[in-house]
Amino acid sequence: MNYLSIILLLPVLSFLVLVVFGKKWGEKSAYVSIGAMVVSFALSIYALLFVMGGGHTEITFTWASIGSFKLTFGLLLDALSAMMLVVVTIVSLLVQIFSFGYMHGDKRIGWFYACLSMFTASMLLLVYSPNYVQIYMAWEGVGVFSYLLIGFWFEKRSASDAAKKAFMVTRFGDLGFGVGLVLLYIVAGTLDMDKVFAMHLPEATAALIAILFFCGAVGKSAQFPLHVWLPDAMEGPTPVSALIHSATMVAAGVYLVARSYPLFEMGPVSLEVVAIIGTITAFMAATIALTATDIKKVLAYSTISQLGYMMMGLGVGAYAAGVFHLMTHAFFKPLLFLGAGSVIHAVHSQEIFDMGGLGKKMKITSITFLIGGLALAGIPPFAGFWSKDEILAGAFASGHITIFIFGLLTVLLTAFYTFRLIFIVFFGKPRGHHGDHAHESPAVMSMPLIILGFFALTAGLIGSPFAQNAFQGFIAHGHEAEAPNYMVMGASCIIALIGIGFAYMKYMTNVLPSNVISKDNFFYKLLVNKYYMDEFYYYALIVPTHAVARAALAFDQKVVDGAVNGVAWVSMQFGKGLRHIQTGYVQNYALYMVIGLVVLLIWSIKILGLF
Amino acid sequence: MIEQVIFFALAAVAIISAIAVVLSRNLFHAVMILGGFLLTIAGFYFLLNADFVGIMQVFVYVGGVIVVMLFGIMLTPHEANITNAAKLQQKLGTYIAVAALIGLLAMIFIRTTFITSPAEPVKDTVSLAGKLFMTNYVLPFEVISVLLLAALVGAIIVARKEEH
Amino acid sequence: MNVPLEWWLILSAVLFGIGLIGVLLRRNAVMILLSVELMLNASNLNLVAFSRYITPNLASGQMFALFVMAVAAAEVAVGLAIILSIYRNVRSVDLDDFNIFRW
Repeated sequence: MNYLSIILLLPVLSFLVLVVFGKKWGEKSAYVSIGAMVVSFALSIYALLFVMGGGHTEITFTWASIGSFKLTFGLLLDALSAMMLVVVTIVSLLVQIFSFGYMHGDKRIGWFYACLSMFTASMLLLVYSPNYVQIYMAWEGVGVFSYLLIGFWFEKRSASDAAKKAFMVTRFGDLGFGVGLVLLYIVAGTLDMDKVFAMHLPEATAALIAILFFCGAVGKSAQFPLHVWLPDAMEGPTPVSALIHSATMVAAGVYLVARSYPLFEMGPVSLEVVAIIGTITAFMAATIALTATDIKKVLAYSTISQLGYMMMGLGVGAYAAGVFHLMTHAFFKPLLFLGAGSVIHAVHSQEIFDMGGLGKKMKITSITFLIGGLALAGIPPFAGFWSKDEILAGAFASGHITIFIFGLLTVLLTAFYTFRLIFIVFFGKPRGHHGDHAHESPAVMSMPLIILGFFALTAGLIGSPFAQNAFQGFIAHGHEAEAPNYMVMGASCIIALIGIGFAYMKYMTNVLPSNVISKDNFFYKLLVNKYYMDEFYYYALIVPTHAVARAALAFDQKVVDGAVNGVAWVSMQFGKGLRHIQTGYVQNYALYMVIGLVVLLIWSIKILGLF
Repeated sequence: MIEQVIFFALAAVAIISAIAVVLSRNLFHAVMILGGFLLTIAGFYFLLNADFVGIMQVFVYVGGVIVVMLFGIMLTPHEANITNAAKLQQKLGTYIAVAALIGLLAMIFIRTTFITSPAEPVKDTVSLAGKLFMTNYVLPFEVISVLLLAALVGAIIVARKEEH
Repeated sequence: MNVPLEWWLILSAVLFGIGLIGVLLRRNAVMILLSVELMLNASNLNLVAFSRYITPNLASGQMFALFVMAVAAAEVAVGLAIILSIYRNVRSVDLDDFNIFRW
């Protein structure tokens, strides 16, 4: 058995074992799951080194053949998948270790680890895919297990609702993906990626298919206008948010676009769509994050915003930069989420205005959170800076000036809301008594924070000019890495610092009047209500759907059930009529025998020809 | 000629007594009339030169069955008037069906040409029957003896009072 | 041989029909038993008549009649026993009361 399949099969095995024994073993389940993930991670590192040494592996076998159509299952190892393997396994590993502390005492911890394992396995399957069928399967697997994880505390109504919302909204995008797959098969006759990419599809067709694929990515990666599920999905346990909403599930959409990049390039229009949607998402989510007061919601919107950046990067042609940002984000965002988890664990509240001055009480958490925040805000030399800067440089270089300007504005907003969060939570004086008994989380929780903090600090360097953009060269065979644009770097850096400055003035000093924005302000209301997107969906989709459902219900109950009941009624009437034959009187039955005899006699007379 | 007279006389008695049995409102009377009917049937048998059957008819039926019947009546309540509570449908259906049956049978009998034999009937039917029972019909004879035994035992078991 | 075979047959058919009417219409179980006896005798008469007219020197029809008699005797014994048994359970010999299979 190939070591690549072991990376995939270990979490699956862990899932199967924990489904059976998870309840019995309780917290010991974590050892199974974490152990499996350690081995998977080590093998992933080996795979990465193998690819860095110029290796390339593709294993396929056919698992079903329908006529000439063969469904193959495969393990593709190239630069992109090797990078993703390492990222997914390390983040999953750290999240699982963190969960051991965070989920301490939960009754269903065995099931929790089973889901985490299978979720990771689905993501690995997706990463490995050399064909679109497998991607689609894994894509749905990721969807199902994210549903189970988001709704892990299903006793809470909001959690089960959020899980349903996440599942259905992403399915909405998957619809496009599915149609795209069918269309691709009709046009290309195959769903193997390398075969598809080697073809020369007509530009319009390729663009259409690419845009349909992008619909799936929009759902999974929470892009505008299907981003609404992600903030609600914060109802899941915080480690789940860290895993799902940073490195894995939401990254799947970006990964799909990156993986299908040759297809998108065949229809350049689709890349424009990707860039525009990405920019809208990045900017809009950042503005919403300004007013959010739930620590996880702020991070959720920042995730959406950063995913928008990735899409923006891919859309403007900065392929390597987009993937680079995916990688760096996969380190600093789990860091922020786990840091938030640590805070919530200590304070037992998610409302940032219940917190304050936690920096002194939770040193490790606050320092690592600060590192994550700096990386998110895009301050050199933290990871986020290099990748984000690459994207902006790419936008600038490709001549998308509007996108570039919105990108810079988003940098400002990002820096502002990130440090708003940090200043409110970790600095200043405690608000209320939630933080009274706050203390540093146990080592099992702080250790993953330190490791992620280290990566958030350094992961960007491998793609920086100091390392001759090694990452870009590694990822983008044939895609030229942009020459570093020091002007853009400087501009984004200064803008980020300005954002932090504003945040400092607003929340740490009284330089800005606290009522600079009125609560009745139109824009404020717009942002607090998230651009009324949920309301829009409610009235545009849910209300009509309910109306249709009610009509269908009425049709079902009146017409369909009516027909069925009518048939039953007719049979019953027949029965009612016929049961009079069953009088229960032996003599009555005997009379029927005599009548039968008479009939037989008449018949025999005819046969014998007596008359 | 004389045979025909006897036939019609006996037939008239048989039909009238049969109708009387069927319509009788009193069980005891019905059984007694049935006895008379059975005797006329025995008369028919003698007319048909079946002496042994006729004698058996008198012994078995009149002497056996009728007595058993009377015992049965005495063990069950015999109301003076047994109402004929059959429904109109049942009555109508019965009369029509039976009339059709008799009519059809009669039609068939009349239309059919039976190949009758002019040979003289056996005089000594008792010794013939004895020979036949021990030769040609030995198996049915033995079977019927087992059947009778089984019926007697069965009747005793069924009719016996259940012990608690 | 002055009486044609058809007359015997018709006579037995009529007696059979009368017995049948009794079986189908009487409500008293003992009366039904009596009517069954009528029918049996009608068929016996039929058998003996055939024996006399078609095979007068073999007497096989007479043998049949004797067997029928034996069966009839058994039938009466068992039938009366059953009626007695039912009577003990239902306290009635009226067929209207034996309607446990009725709808």
